[in-house]
Amino acid sequence: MNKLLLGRYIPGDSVVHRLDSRTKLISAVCFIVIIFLANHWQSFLLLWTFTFLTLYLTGIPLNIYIRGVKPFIWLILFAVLMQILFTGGGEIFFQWGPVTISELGMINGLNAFFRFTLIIFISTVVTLTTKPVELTDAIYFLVKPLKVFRLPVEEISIMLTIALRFIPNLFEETRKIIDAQKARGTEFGKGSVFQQMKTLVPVFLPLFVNSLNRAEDLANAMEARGFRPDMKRSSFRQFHWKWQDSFTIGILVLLTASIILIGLYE
Amino acid sequence: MKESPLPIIEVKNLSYRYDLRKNTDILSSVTFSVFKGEWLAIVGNNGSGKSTLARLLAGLLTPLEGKVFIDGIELTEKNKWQIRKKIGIVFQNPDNQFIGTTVEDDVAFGLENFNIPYNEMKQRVQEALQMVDMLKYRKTDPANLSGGQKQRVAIAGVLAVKPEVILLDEAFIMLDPKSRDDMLKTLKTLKEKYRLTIISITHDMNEAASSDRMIVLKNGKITATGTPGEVFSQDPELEPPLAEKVRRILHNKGRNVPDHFITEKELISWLQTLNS
Amino acid sequence: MVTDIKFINVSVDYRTGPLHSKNVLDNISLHIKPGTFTAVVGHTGAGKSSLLKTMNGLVIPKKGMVKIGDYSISNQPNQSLKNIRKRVGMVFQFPESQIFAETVEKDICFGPLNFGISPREAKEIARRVIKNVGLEPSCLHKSPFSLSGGEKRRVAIAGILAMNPEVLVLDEPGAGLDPAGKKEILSLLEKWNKKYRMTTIMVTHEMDDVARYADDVIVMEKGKIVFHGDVTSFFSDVERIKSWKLDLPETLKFQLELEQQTGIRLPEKCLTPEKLANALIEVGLV
Repeated sequence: MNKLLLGRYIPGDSVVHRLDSRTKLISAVCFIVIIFLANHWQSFLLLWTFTFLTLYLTGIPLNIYIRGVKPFIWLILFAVLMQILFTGGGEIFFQWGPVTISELGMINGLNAFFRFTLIIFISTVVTLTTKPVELTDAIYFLVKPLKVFRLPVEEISIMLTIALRFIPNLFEETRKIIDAQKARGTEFGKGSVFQQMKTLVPVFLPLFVNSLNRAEDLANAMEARGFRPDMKRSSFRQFHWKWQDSFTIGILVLLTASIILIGLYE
Repeated sequence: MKESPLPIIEVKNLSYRYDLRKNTDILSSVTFSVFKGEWLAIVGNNGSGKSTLARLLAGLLTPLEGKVFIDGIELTEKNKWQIRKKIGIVFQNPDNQFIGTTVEDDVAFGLENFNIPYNEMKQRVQEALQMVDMLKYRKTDPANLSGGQKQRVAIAGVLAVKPEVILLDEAFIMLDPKSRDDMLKTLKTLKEKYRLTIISITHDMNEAASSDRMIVLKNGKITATGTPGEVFSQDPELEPPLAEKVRRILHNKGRNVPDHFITEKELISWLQTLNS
Repeated sequence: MVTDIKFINVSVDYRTGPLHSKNVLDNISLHIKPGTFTAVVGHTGAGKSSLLKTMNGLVIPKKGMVKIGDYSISNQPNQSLKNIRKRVGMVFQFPESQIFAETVEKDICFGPLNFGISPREAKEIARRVIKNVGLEPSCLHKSPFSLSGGEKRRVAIAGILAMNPEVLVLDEPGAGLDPAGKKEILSLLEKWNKKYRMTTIMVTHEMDDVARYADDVIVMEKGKIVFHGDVTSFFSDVERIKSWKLDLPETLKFQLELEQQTGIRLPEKCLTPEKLANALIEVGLV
């Protein structure tokens, strides 16, 4: 399995999979915002409970999510360490020059750890349970109002959709060309940086040329099938708002309110 | 073959040149008609101008000279968008014409462009997929389909728009022989059932031999036209289909064989009469 | 030098991104005789491409050993694959999509230069192989992207021949070409195979090509070899071919149709129209 989990869809039929992609996108954004409002252990307890419940509901094994955190582990540890070592306050356990290990530093470190992992977990939930094309649709829906500012929202959306469609082809082709040049005696990853750069030309050049040819074919096919960028199109992919979506949004409103209240009264 | 009096497509004195500085036409003064309900095969070598002709018929290129009439209306820069509802193309590369992220999305693409409302679209997508026997794959993404299956989806995408004419631009050349045969059979059945008009630009002489009418293009000019029997007897350079090959070999060996073009069916029944 | 290929209990796993397929080659043992023309047939996903890649060291067996003449590939670190790759020329499907250089000559020289041939010698080789693939030496200085599809493919194959391989493996070399272009390329392969006794292995879906060009046939199913023998014995059992869900050559298909409808029995399985015509004469029908 490829290491980076973000951006990979795992097909399934869970409650989370079936939620409207707009619901998932809005909820994730909202959740990430309130993560930064959270400052107390009660808040984090709430957030963790919500997160684990969501992870459980996706029906995707927990170890897949944990694997999703792994590539970021050094970044997280670095942030945590910075917090622990360089913020002071409260009871001081250890001091050496600018390095202070204090009670507040420990708490901040723990909070940073929580924030990072929660963000990764929740964004992974969205990408694992939502088809990329559905996410594009959701983004398109949310930025549609920007059309007032003459932003070509529709064109960008169809561009993104087509890009998503052809990413697997591009990977496949890259692999094939690499194999073909290996068979012609290229040794990748050997020699100086300059030599390694040189071995990439016979890979990227054909890839580029092939992509241009593909783009031309694609443009012809689209035009022949009646595509006009400036005309109104109907849409085959429809959003289906269900009570589960209203319910999810409701929970998030409650969650946000609780986090704010805890922040105010603790 | 029943020909209605009015042709569905009329091509008059069509010429085209990619490089205007040069004097060589890719197509020069091509004139022909296509009649409703027929299967017209256009054959010719590489560089004969076949693919250019396909692009001109779909309004993807603008002719240098000459006119194309589709369903009685002249194809112009202005009305090409309306006319595209009347003519659907299937291109040769299965991957590069698959636009949707799933089978049903792809079939719907043309309908979306013509702004068909959702409910009608849903029904038409389902019908079209049923016609090419791909309904069970409707949620599948293209990476999990074979070349033959992708071409079936491309045909469904064209059928969903309900065009007057389907143009196959070497649509089977990238497929293995078995998928090619299956696809031809499906199209033949659909053609009979829905009285479709099919123009097939092809290299496959067996396919051409099974068409209603053939046109041979050479260096941008029509050199022969007629039923497969007529064309294959007229043009000795054209590689004939199997049965005719066998007949010619026997003829060259001085055997007593029919002196005209022969199909597989005819060869079998002729041998049968000899046998009894 | 005429080279043979041996597979001894070879198993291969295949891994691309999230996909991990176990045993795409499942305990294969095989001997391809030197100088033969072998066709590899089977369904998509039967392991045909993996078989070819294993011969070139692009895929390393997890178990067993592959021997190309005196050189071998097995699952051990730090083995040099250069000797293998130099001897086994691999032509991928649609090889024209790997062309990258600004002139035909540079693209053809790419392989030889990688294997340490001097630039002067490489250019000489390019002049020779371009004629070998039936193109004019004058096109050496053209941009490969200005050529037609069939010509580009021949340039790509010339780039492999330039490495002077002893074995040529090809994945559907005729795919996507018109019949004339395909025939030209396959006839070239046949010529090199006969003239230089270059061991040739070709994956194909076209049974007519198997009948016309190959000496031997390998049938693959689910990572295993279910048949390896000469063309005559391969086509002798039609039921067996059907049980592998493979197609038949056009002439043979017609012959069966004819025999079934008329009750005529021809003395042998006819793979070409000439053979069919002769058989019809032989039974005294015409």
